[in-house]
Amino acid sequence: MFEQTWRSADDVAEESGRSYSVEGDHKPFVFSGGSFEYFGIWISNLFLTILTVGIYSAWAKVRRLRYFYGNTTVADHSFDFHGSPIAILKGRLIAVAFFIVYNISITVFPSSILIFLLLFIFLFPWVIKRSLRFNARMTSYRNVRFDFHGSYLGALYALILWPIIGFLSLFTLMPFATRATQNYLARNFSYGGRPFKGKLPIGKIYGYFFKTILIGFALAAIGSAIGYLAFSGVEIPPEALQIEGEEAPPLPVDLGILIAVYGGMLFAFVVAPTYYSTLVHNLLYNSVVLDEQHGFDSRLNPWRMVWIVLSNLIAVAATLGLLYPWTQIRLARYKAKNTSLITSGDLDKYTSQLEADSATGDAFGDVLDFDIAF
Amino acid sequence: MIGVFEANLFPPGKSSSRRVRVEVEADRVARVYDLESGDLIVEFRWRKVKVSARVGNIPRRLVLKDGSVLETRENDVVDAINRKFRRGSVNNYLYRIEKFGKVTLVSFVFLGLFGYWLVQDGLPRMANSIAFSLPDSVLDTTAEKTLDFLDRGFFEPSKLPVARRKELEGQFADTLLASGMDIACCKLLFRDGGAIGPNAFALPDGTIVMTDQLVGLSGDDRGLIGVMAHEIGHVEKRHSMRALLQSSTLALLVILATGDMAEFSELALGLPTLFVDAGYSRRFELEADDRAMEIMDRMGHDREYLAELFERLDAFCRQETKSSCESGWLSSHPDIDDRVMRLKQANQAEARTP
Repeated sequence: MFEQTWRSADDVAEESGRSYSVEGDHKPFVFSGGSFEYFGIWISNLFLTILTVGIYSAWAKVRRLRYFYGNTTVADHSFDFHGSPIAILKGRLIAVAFFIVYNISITVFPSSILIFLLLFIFLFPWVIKRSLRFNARMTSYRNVRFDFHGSYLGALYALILWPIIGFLSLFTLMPFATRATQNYLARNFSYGGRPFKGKLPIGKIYGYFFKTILIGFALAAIGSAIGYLAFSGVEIPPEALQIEGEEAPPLPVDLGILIAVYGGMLFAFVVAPTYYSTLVHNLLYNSVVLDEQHGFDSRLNPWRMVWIVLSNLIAVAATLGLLYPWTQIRLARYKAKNTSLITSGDLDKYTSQLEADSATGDAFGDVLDFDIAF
Repeated sequence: MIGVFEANLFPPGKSSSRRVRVEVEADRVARVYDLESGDLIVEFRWRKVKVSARVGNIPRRLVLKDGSVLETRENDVVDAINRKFRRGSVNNYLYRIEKFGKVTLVSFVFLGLFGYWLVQDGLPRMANSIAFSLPDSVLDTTAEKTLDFLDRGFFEPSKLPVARRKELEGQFADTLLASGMDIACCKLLFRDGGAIGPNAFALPDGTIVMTDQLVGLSGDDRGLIGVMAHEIGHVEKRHSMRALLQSSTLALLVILATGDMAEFSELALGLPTLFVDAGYSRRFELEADDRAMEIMDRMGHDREYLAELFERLDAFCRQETKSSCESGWLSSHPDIDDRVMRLKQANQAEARTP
């Protein structure tokens, strides 16, 4: 125990050049779920969801979350999810109704998309806020619930205003947007009525940001150049690129250009975001403190995460979803393995503070895919 | 003794716990003893507590009347006690289904077949019946807005001489007549296609738009009549509405079935959706081609003219830069060679058996 504490502490200190927000024992997270076991749950969730025309999806969600939470253990206790399927179902029905109205409206009145856009902008922070709160309140550890206290204006500021400023500044101020979002998370969770606190240093985020851009551009350039040089001049006949049911490209395509273009896209949409968000994830976890006694030690390796995400994507696409359960278990296992709870105080002194709440905001986020990770 | 298991006992809402041993006797009463001291802490009737549903092997939660919680990892013992004292509870059916085994394999096969059926047959059928039950007003507004959008963004008013337009409109009326459709069902409009180039398409309400460039490209008006017949086929079968319904329903289904796959939804799942959509549009094009052939036959025009126009379009596309071709008439259409072949083959077969 002692040796492990010493070693992991050293690793992180070396990696991030700082000491922990809390000193204390490092208790590792353990994820004990298995691929075959989860495969059975996933398949039956899908099966029953189809048999019940989607109604079971609410139960499916509860069972899935309970499986993942219940298999995540730290300091001898696991997490649990308490959301009621009925509440989730209600939320989903509202979300589906909204989706249908939206689709019909933009089909019949294409210009109404502007109204919806405006509506989305103002609805989005509310949905996120509610979703975070619902999930926090339905999560327990040691019989005590979490909670989330973020305000609507806080969400509007962190999730809409700052990203817009980030775009307008041609991304130069994007790290401030990242900080705003992460601070919104870091400062608004609580456990047993005791608030988590944390402040993310802007300097570090800028560091990650530039690192991502530099490494990313270098990689993209080297990769594209190698791809281009190695394969340029190799022409693929149009027939080879033809997708069934689609018109073949009229001209032969240069393989080098193809690799350069797809490599660039892969970088822009998968590699760079994963790399950056992993670093930010570590920073967030390492910054939050509960009661000045408990904190986290998160040391996900960004390159390892890039590899996991990429290979998961390929595995799911190549097997038409068959390997999806395995990819999820693999991800959860890696995350747990590289996260510890640092604790110097008593985890036994907390008391739950709340009652259940509606799931509407949460389900909106679910159906319209607004999930942000925490 | 019916069952014994160890557990953590939490006071209501507290994070502190102590290790306990729970003994359940034949009198259906469970007695909770402190593991260290052996003192009896509490006793309760088994049927009076809420037992959480079993999921995999995650800890089981028993909520007592006063809100205290017993948490245990000994799922099998709890199940055995439940079997004895809670017959008829549905709690464990789900767990048994979820357990990796025969049911898993059967559901898996079912899901595969179902997915295949849905894409091949179910979805097109559903879209078909909805498209034909939609009120005309919906079709009208949809079409109006689409045309309005295109007019503002891409099209210019047609530059064809009025006489030429009149001539083509006359031929369109003949084609309509030959198709057997109500004469009021469709109308033909001309537009300068601009960047869109040679193109023709049908809107849901029966408006058929043909660009000046397509008229210019055609060598013989009978080719254009073939295109008109093809578009009338689209209108008749309500293809544009069906395509819209199919692709949006498919997207919704994918989101619902995989709502959990946040990070996958766009990349890994968007791709198959695209393929499926392309497959649908291919079917529609072939259907419209079949209709065009029928109508041309009825009018006594050789199908060769339509085939020839297809080939001209294809040749035009190959000359042009790729981008202008992608937005052209052939983009979502099946391989032009196949279609030309179909037209010609059908023609020959017909010629041999007059």
